[in-house]
Amino acid sequence: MITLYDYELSGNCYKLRLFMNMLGLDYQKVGIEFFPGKEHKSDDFLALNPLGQLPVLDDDGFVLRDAQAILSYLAARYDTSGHWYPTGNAQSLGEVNMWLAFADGITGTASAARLHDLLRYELDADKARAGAHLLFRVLDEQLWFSERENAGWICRGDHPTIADIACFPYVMLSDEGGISLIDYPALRRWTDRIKRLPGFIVMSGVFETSL
Amino acid sequence: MNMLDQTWYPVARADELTMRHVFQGQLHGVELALWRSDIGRVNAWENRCPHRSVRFTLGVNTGEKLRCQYHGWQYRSGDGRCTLIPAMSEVAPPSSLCARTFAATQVNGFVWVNLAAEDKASAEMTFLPSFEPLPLALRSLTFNASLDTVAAGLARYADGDRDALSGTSQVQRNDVEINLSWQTPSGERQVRFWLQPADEFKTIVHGSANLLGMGEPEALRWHNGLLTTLRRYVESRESPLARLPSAKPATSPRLIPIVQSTAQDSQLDGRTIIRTIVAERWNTAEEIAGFKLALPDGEHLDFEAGAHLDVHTPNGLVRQYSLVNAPDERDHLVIGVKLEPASRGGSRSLHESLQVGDSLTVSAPKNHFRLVPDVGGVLIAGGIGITPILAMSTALQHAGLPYALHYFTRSKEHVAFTDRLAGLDGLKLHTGLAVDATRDEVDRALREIGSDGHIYVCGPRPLIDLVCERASSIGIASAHVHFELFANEVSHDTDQPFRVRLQASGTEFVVPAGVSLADALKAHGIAVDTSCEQGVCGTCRIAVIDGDPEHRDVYLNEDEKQSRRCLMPCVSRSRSELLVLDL
Amino acid sequence: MQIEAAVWNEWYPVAVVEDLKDGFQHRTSVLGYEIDYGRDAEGTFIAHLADGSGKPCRTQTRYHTHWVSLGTPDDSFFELPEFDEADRRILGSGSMKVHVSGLRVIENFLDMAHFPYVHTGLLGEEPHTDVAPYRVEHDVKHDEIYANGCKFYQPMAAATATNGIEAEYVYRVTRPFVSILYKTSPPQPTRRDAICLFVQPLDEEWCIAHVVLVYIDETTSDRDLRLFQQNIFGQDLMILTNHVPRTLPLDPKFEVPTRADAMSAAYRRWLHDKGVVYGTYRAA
Repeated sequence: MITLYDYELSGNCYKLRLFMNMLGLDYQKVGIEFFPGKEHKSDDFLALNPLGQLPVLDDDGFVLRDAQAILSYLAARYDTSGHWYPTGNAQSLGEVNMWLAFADGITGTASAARLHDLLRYELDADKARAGAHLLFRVLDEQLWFSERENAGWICRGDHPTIADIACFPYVMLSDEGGISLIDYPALRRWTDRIKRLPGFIVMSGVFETSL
Repeated sequence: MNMLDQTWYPVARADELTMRHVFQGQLHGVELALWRSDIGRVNAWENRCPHRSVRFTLGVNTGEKLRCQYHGWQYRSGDGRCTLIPAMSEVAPPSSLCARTFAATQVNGFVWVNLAAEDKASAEMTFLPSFEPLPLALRSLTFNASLDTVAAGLARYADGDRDALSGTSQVQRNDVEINLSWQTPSGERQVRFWLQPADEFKTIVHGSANLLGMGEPEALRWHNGLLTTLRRYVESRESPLARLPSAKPATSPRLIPIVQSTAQDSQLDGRTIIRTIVAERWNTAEEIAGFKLALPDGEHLDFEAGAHLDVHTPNGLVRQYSLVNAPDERDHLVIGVKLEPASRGGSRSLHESLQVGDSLTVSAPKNHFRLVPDVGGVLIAGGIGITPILAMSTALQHAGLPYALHYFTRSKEHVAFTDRLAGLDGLKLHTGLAVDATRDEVDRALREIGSDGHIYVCGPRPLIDLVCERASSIGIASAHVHFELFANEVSHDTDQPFRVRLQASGTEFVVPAGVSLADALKAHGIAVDTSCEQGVCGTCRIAVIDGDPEHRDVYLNEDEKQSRRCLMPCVSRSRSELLVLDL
Repeated sequence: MQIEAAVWNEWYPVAVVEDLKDGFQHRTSVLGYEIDYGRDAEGTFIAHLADGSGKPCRTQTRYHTHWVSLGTPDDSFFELPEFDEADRRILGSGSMKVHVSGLRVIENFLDMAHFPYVHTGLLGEEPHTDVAPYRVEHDVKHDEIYANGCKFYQPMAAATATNGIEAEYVYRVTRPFVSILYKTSPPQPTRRDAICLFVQPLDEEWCIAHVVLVYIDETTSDRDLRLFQQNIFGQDLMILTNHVPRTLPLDPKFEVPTRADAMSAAYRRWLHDKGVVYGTYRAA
């Protein structure tokens, strides 16, 4: 049985709720009170993840932290199509991993700005927002060309990969950190595309689109 | 820069408005929600729902409507009217409830918007910059810099081409258009840019170029690289007008108040009442009387084929009649009234009592039976159903769109408006047919329809049912079949009419059943400010001198209601026979 | 700016009691003024202006919340007798900051028509979208407004809900930035649970929503009650962040209400009649 240590308002946890729903995986959720209780910094939780971060996944005793790492594990283990994480093709794999690392950068910028604005985390929000804008410019360009040359997903090919899942939540929630997507039309169209994938589910702050 | 200068600007490449997407744009500080309906119409609206000002770009393009995310309110493509309020799903939204729309058009692969064009019809005729894009449409790029700074920067575009022959670069700027050309060993490179002033500190660069020795994908990337590099240079310059992408936008979105129609506007909507004079009446067919109604001096109405009016009959009822008018007939109204024997006498009173020179109160035109723009169709009319169908056929013929009009009547004597029918090339008359023959004709008519075509039918219920059933059986999508049913029953007449006296002038008039006091006042030239039209917001409040108001609002408190010194005319009425107003 | 008396001489929340630790000082803003606040080592709540003057602010701890005032409020504090009932669970569900005027947060709290679209599957769902008429009443003596007799179909009204119910609500506004929602308590249907929304205006376009739950519930953990409430608030957050303008327009022609908005129209009228300007939209 898969157990997800989860917080509803966390975009990183949402990456896994979303992906597991798309894969049709059963799992149980253990809610961790990230706010205001800071339960992710409790002794019990630190024993599970010494970095004190969510999400954490436990698959029958195999424990992983880090949303991107967990996505790659779930894809490699459970995705029979091999599309989501193309371990069989070195170039495609490299490309997906490059954008998974990029997603981590989005967490460090867009998500940081959101934590500052929403939960009053003390950090340099202006710097975080400027950083998010630079990343979104790069992603918007990637997606604009992908719309023309491929199928409009972040990486090459006809099928979305876990790179798309990893980048989606904090792009979608960027307004909550004071980052508008008005300058990134290709990014906005890509979010519609993700919302139309079979098995798509929302989280607070994300809404469905028309089919 | 004038806030709403009379200029057309590109706001997006046409292919950016993808299927069922809501594009977020910006022009002169006004945020725009740009979306395309499934049948291709481009909408440019202020990015703000009139209900609680939540951005439309958070909402959903359903293909026909834009649905706001907050409360699910739906606004239709074209005029932006609100068509559904889910919290009150059985009630038609007030006709004043409308998205703030701007004139938009799609030309040569770009969407252009004109913020100053209040009247969309006239906007269409305003001069659009004549421009020809070059063959390759480039990726549009947002610069965080003012328009002039960007224009100055673009002059150096050729510097990014290592193959450019020095001294050959030519730049020509014409306001927001910039033309560049330079020589390379393989020939001349040309680029044409249009600048979109998103706001004071942000400019979007739309461009096109010639293809010279490069395939399209390669050329797109090459130009994108040049422009991106140039942007780094422009944005990093020490200039008070240039900004890096940073935390706060330099300016908050500029807001344009949602314009509400008031009595002073000549823009009449479906809830306004008009006093017409009967200019002509004639027998246009067996049992059908034609009436030509003159509008008050200088009035001119705007409506589309398929529209109808509420007519206040001489015996105090309200009945709907469709307008027969051709597209160029807008200074008078033409209706056809069939004498209905088995009814409450509304049509009989029109036939028997209404004479030339009499006044007749009608509503402004409303329309639930519009033509789909830019496509032809098959139109089917049965009996008095010819009235809207005739207007629609005439409109299609004027527009040069293909159509066929099939008009079914009981006999030749029942054919109405023969003079107008004579001008219609696409007319096929079917008189005196039995049921089977009618069905065969309908089948024949439907088979002629193209894959894009639409079907419009008006007439007795059995004819409408027949057409719908036959269309469905040959696989025509129900979204392509449009009908209007003439109901002989009217909406509720449970209201009591009452008299109103205006204290200042002594004028007295009757407010009939089914007409709100606010509308009646407006019809008599009294300016009444309205907004919600549901008795919630308090805008229309007026003072009462005498009489017993029947309060139907939720705005006034108990004391105010019991004082009987004020009321909300948009919904409230009178318990007493006479109400004297402080107006 | 000169802030009107109706807003200046009021109490504003800065923290829910359990969110502070004794002996720590924090910085926040109220009505655009920075203040430092906290509980000293003995547990006394104190606050003062952070402008260098050290001038103390009036303070009060009530309803599980620490309040400050920059002005001279009178002695009347609104009554919430549920807080005195011994069997109540009283907890904050997490105070969150929002980039919008506090007045819009209150108005969103008073609205049911958005349930099927924003809180889909929880507080509402299609096709149960119609808002049945309810009664707006003005308690003149206390100058508070109520929406009584509100009903709405809710697929999952609370953390403990197992099926959809027709929820019965009462909304109450006691101060411009304070509102309480009462709903039937599932374990004891003759009593009501209360959700208190105490809004702290940081400035005209930013606020912190302090939410205090006053429930009859012996089974659900604090964590689960909080997570459910935060989920709901998180859904509103994206909407609240996207109002243009962020401040609340009081002109009824700027934003058009419907019959379902009777309470919010009454709230705007009440604000206008009280002379509230802070946090409202004024066209340039």
